[in-house]
Amino acid sequence: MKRSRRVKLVLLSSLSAGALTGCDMSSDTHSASTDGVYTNNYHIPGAGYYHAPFRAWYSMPYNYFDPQKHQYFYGGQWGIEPHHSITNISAPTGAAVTQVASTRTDISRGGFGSSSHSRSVWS
Amino acid sequence: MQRHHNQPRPAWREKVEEIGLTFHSHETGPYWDEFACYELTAAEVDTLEAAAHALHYLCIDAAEVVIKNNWWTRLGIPEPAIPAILRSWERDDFSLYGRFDLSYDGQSPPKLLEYNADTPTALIEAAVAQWFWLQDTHPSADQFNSIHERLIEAWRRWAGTTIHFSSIKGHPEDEQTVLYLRDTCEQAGVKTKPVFIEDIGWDSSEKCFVDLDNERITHCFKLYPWEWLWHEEFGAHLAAEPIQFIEPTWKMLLSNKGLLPVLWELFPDHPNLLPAFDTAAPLGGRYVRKPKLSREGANIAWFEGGVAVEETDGDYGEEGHVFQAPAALPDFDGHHPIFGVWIVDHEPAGLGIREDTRRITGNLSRFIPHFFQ
Repeated sequence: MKRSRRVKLVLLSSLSAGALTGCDMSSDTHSASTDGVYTNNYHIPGAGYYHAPFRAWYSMPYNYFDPQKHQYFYGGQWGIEPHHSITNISAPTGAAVTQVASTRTDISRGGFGSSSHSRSVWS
Repeated sequence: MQRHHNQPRPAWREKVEEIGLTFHSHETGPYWDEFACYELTAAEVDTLEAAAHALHYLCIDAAEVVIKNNWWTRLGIPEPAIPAILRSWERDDFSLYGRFDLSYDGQSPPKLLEYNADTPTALIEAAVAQWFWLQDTHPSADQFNSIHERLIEAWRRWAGTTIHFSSIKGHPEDEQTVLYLRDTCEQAGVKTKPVFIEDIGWDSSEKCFVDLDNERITHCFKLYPWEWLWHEEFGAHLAAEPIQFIEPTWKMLLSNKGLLPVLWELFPDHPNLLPAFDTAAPLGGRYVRKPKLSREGANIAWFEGGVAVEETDGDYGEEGHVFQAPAALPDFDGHHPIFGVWIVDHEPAGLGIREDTRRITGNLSRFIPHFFQ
């Protein structure tokens, strides 16, 4: 016998559409999501450092001390004292996630695909 | 070998669409054509299988000779790709599949026309559509087609990995083919994620490729030719190998028609090879001219008495040509079949037959299902 004993389709068949809905596709390491939780100073390249009490990313680490200013950075502002909070892990706001997605200036796209000239690669 | 006329199954379009073959028709008629079928003998199937097995390993031997002799220019391979090819070859990076196109009349040994080793398609037709056709029409017959279960088996080694699957936008055939391969990969227990070639991003901070969720792409099946990737803007990042593509870089050696003259040099008079050369002169006036990198049967010209008598158009040829002796194509009432033998994980796994009324099989050919007793 040289033929497959059974051909089952889980994605391709219209009869099985959605079979994988709910499947965990994430292997999140460097992206922002409202479904995830992040600890203080979780860094996303291009977006910055997560400040858990403020549920958003900022350009400098949480409670970063500037020796020239003699001030601490937290939640997008400077203060004379470091910020105190019991929150060191949280889920980001939707607005923060959206902003992260739109501020990834270090990611460029469109560098592949130009050779196709809208033709299939059939061979 | 026989070609039969068939009554197609009632509602055949809906039947093949249900299993993913949404691109079943050309503007001029059916592409999936079950108005006919081929019946082969078990011995003929064995012959095709043995030929594909032998040819696959001849191609690997020839690729090794190309590497040892630095025949990169001969194959038109871009210089920046060479170190990556060499590393990929040494690591023996995973190769999923390929398709030999063979000329075969059931009498003489099958002859190699070309090896689609990088971006072969016509996969759903061969692996799925003709399998279901067989169930409906010849349930007691056999078919040279274990492609589906062989693909699943091949993916199993990637359990625990997330593999991205990529094709260009706006081409249903490519998108469906990649979706089918994702399907087999998922069934092997491997996580998958889609990303269009055009949407792949380059993260300059992390020096890696990312998908639209900005998630790092570590492994990617691509239905996109290697030679295009290297020539595009992001091709400059490929040398550092931030991503493992499937098919691997070393397949650039096998998918290149420049390998045909190398094969003939190394294995002259091999029963499964046609004479092939870098120039037309050794073949006199009768030969087929093929661009080294063409796809879809593009820019292929058939010469008789030194004059092109049949030619297809396209955008290929700048990279140079090879010249191959014409194969004796079987003729079934004006239909010329080409036998596409699938290789999965380095072993023959199935057969898809396309036929054309022209001598050059192109993207308007028809796929004809087969069976054997």
